[in-house]
Amino acid sequence: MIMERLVQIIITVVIMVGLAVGYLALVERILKRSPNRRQQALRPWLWLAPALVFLAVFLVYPIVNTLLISLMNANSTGFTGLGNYVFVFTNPGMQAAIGNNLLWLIVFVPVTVVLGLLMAVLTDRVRYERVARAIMFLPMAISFVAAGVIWKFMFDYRPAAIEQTGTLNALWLGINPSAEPQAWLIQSPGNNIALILVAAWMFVGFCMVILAAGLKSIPGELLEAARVDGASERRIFFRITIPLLSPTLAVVTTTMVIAALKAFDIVYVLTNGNYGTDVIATRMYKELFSARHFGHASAIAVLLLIVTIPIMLLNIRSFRQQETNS
Amino acid sequence: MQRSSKGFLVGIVCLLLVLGAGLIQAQDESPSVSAARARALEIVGGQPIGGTVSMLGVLGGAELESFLSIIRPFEEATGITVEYESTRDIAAVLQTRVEGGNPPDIVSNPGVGQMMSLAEAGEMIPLSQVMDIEDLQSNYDAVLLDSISVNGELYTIFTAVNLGGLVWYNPNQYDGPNPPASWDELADWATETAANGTAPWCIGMESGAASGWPGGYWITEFFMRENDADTYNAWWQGELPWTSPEVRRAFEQFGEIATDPALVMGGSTAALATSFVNGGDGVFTDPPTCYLHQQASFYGGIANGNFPDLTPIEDINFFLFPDLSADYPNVAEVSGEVMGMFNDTPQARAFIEYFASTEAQTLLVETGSYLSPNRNIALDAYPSPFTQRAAEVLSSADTVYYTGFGLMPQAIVDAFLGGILRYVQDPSQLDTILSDIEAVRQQTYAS
Repeated sequence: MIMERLVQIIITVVIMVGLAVGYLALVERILKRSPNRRQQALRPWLWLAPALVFLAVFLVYPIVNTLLISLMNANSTGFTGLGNYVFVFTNPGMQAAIGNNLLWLIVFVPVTVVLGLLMAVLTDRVRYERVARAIMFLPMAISFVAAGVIWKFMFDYRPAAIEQTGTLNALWLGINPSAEPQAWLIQSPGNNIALILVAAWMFVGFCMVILAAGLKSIPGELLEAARVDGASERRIFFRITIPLLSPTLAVVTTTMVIAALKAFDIVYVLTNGNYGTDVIATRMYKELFSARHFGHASAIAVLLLIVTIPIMLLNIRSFRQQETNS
Repeated sequence: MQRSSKGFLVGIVCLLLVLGAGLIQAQDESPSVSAARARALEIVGGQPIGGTVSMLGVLGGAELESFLSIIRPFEEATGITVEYESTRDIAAVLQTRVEGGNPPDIVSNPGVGQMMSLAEAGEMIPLSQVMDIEDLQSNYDAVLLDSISVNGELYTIFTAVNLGGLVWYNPNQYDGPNPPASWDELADWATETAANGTAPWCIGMESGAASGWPGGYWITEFFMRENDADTYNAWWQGELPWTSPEVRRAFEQFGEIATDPALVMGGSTAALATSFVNGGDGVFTDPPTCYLHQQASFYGGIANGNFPDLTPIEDINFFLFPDLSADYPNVAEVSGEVMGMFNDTPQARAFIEYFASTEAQTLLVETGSYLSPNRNIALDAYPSPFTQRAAEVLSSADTVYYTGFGLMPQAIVDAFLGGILRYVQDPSQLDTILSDIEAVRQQTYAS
């Protein structure tokens, strides 16, 4: 079974590479026969063509199609104008989800970026730097669903009459034996914060690694010079490190903003959006797979797309800036 | 001489014992397995045909193991390999596969409503093209078959069913009416017990993306014991508004228990946060934290997994949810999985015909986990005292319904189950919750 698959994969790869090489050889052969000037103009486009076709089929077409479906009724049989967008902004469930995503932005982004920066700066100064960073980066290697399941056990709740099995409640009652056990995932609005912290636990390591790389690129002489001039460590951090790190910080922040906007897995696994924890992406999933309303689901997708586009652009710009700087 | 003849006799007996053991070893499979194998071979026309059947379902772990044991004789006899793919989120996975034009050959799905709408959309193969429908009708209950027919055509068969609405208790601890003659009698005992300081009920409704379904059973139990068949059918068929007094009353009857910390152990928070797997644990702990747990017939297996030392009947037993109204006595609800065909291949045809046969259904009940809706299964084929008693209850019930929310469209099921959670968390919101579900019903049936 596995061997069959493996053979299939190898054959597919060989064929794909063969096709690509064959295509380019063909293109070059044709180009050689045409005049020199035309060669110059055509060559880049012909080389790009396969990638452009892929982009058109797998990116442009779905976006255009989603836009179209978002203007149609539940099963895409007739146009309904902007009705689905009215739904997106007036439905109470959607409004609650948008509110929750705002909460994700407000809590998740600062927590991951600030903690990531703190970890990067602190681990930069110790001898066991690599080990510490590897440990903090580990959660990133776990799939979101697995992390959700792990935390579900951690958040577990048992009534006060029974022994607690959840790590958090065991700690909570260990510190304060007379307290009531907490149903972390049910009590609102604390349950949203609980979900956000799970996501933060996964992403802090990622932020740290990127920021640590940025720290390494700050010239040591600069910090040395500041120290010689008698600047305090705090002053160095805020006046030299932060400004020089700002392109990296911008990349990390925008990446985290996008992560907060597309939050799905953790919410789906831990609460499935119940108890007031729905986010935009879980609503989209429910409209698509449970309500089977393609119009609503597509309108929500378009909303997410429009919100992420400016952040994407910002991300690309600051990434380029960082590239030219370093 | 006498001595040696004695020795000779002993020798003979020993030899016979060894031979006998060897014989038993050689035929260690039960006659029902060989019968199932013979039937499978007959279905494919006497010659193994080979090939594969892809199958999508929700079972995992021990449940999947016992399910596969039903399939094995079929595989051995026909040479067909059954590839069972398991998912917890079958509603989404199946929908995606069907839309992508790549459905599995066979699907076994607890979401009967989804299967019915896929059949209506023309995605499934009608069973009348596959096997003798009259044969099937003589084996299965007509009302049950009607409830899963689409425009008069049958597309699915029941694979395994469970009897819902059983009240489980520990005979060493429970001292209330047994069985209670009416709901009122049980409710009176519950109030008394609560006044003495122990909550009578345990409830656990957490179940991942399907959380709330145990509450769905509660509400269904109340609903079907106070309404006639027409009202019950109107409810799951989407003709009864969710804001109607009948639905509202069933919600409130459930809420009286689930939101009262005196009546349910740990109050509403415990009912919401406890997994259905651990929902009834409190009944069997020492000392017990509650006395009663409402759950379907499969709970016997769950309790046995959580407390391996329990002896059935002695330490764990059940009675049927009591009648609420003299007008609608002795009602039972079943739920379960239905199986249908999405690709018309000879292998898939053979598989589904095999699974519907009395021989395969006998193997099904021999796993001890399920009941068979096939009426030709003898009661003594049931190895577990629980499933045997449940089958007895089922065959003696005056009215048998299929659990309503298993038949509703997925959007309404999700709204219903989500609504139950919201209601238990904040009972004052009942009006809003019911009108929210009602809005989903109107939208679902409008399009």
